[in-house]
Amino acid sequence: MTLARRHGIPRFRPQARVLGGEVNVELQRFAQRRYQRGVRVTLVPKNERMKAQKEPLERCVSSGDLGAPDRRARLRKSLRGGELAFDLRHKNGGIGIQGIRDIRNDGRSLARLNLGIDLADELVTANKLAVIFRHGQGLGVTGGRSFRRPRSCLRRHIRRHETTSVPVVIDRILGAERGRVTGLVRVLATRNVRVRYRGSSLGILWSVSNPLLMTVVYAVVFGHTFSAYYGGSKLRYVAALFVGLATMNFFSTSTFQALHAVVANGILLNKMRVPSIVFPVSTVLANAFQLLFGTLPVFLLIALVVGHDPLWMPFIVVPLLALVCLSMGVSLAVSAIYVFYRDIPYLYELAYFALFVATPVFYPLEIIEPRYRPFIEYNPLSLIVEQLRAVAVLGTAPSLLASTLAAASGLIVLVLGIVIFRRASAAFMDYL
Amino acid sequence: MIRLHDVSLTRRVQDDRSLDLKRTMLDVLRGRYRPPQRKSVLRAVSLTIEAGERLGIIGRNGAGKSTLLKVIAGIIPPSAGTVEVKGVVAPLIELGAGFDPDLSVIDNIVLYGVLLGFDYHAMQARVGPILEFAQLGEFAHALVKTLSSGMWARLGFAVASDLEPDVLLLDEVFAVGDEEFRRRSRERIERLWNRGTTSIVVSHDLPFIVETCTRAICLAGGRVAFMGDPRPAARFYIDTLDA
Repeated sequence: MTLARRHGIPRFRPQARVLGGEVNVELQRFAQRRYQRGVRVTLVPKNERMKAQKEPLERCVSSGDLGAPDRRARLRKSLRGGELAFDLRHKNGGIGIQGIRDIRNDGRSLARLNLGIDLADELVTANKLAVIFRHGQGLGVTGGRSFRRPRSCLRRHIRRHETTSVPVVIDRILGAERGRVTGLVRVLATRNVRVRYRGSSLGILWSVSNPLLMTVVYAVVFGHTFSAYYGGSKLRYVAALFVGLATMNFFSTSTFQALHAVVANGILLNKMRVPSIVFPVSTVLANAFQLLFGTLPVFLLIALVVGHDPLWMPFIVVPLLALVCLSMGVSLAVSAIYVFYRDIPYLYELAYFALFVATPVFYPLEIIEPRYRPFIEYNPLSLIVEQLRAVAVLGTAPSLLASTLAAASGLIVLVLGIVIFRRASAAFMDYL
Repeated sequence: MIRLHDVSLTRRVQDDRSLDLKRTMLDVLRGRYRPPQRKSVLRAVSLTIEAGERLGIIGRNGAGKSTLLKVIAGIIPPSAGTVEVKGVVAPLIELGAGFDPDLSVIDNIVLYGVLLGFDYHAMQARVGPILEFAQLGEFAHALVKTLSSGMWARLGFAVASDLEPDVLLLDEVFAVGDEEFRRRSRERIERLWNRGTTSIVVSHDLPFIVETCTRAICLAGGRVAFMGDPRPAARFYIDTLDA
């Protein structure tokens, strides 16, 4: 049982990782009291001795006995502004610093104590204070609460001080607020689901009613012509239709709802300190919840009734996850852009309609002229729809290539969405 | 402790033209695009508030009082300068802004608490005491939209003041609830003050500022026009009103 858990604070995890170079930066959060959160930074040379050096630090934090000197480390502490900040210097050259609550002050105390790290610089990035440590050949960067962009900060620092030879690459620090974000997303997603179904006895079944209705309409119009491509079986065509329509319905519902998520919560964002990303994310997750409990059971039913071999069903996880990632990525991007350009919904509606027609939802892929077929076949949604159909409707093994492509495109779109959202969110408050 | 160093904030002047992608693109093509205008809301505000201090902020409407609180609360990032705030901040600004009218009182307590920055599980454990303080026990499962506006504000205050903050930001919050609730909320805040909680109070109630604060600043046009003891600050403010 970790200290953090006992006090009802999200467990801490390492938040930065070094990809190469000589310095290892580790940012962790720990809880002292219920509401006190701390950031701990250790700067140690990345070599074999690392492990041995980390140990006393760890012990020091968990025991709460901040003053006890360790055999391997010399400890000093300093009181600055009523806060305890102290450092550890190891005989073999490693340096660790740690402090309670606010690392910025540790940086200062450390500089004042003049303990071998020169406090290189303090920078303001994304309006948050960051402290850069220079230690020998290495660079370390740390920031206070919700400090998000160490990498760009570091880059700027390097540019300014022309120390480009310093071989440090720091992976993104996901921000000290990660635990908070998960809590927020959880509450908001539950709220979305709960508010939506209040007072409706059919509950989650409503989420399948739309694709069911549309299936009937398309089946009546196209069933006669297109069932020939499904071995003359109308039932199979209807099943394929439902799978396609349910997929598109999830994509469109989540992205169109998420499109408005940031702007709709603009008033709230003006009154409380809430990371804006939680709104689109929770919207998509609320829809994913319905996908899981509303649509997936119908897919299972289809696999049992129509498919050849329901044993392939577990593989449905891959296209479903790809679908959620894809929708999440698109949602993040459009919700961020909507903050700046309020005519985006019209454009997006147009784009979505084009995508819908360019996906073999109600027609078989075979009717497309061969030279255009790749455009239809390899759009990410087609890949997902086709893999879902392979598993649920046909009951065959999913294609390895198509599954990989679907998963890869979902992940790429997700990463792009996160990048766009993060870049844009710095300027949100001016437009909300 | 709170330290603001040369904090400036400019905000975009709201105009609908630049909010339109089609029009912006056309303007860029025609070479007519102009970046949106910005106006200064805060200008080079430098301020150090020591732990345990109670700072009053006074000034006319639009002088930047509430904006300054929002910058300190981390809601709006400053355009330039640095803001350092140590400790847990409880922003008692526009209470109840995070409520969802379609959820029950209990669900809203958890929702609002998590929005304020609390842990989900910690919040669930606090539901009972919060309900008790807000005296809304019998409405625990009622939808928040059915509450009266006074009850709404009471609930907001009860949640936001339930944490043990190091820094308390108060923006005209004593005007909520009935007389009895106002008395109890005063008591609760005074208890926090006695424990050495740093506070920043925005109010137009000058006697209240003079009576409770240890220091006051007067803002005018986004600048700190006066800083010092509350009584001379109030005097300064009244003089500027007459001028």
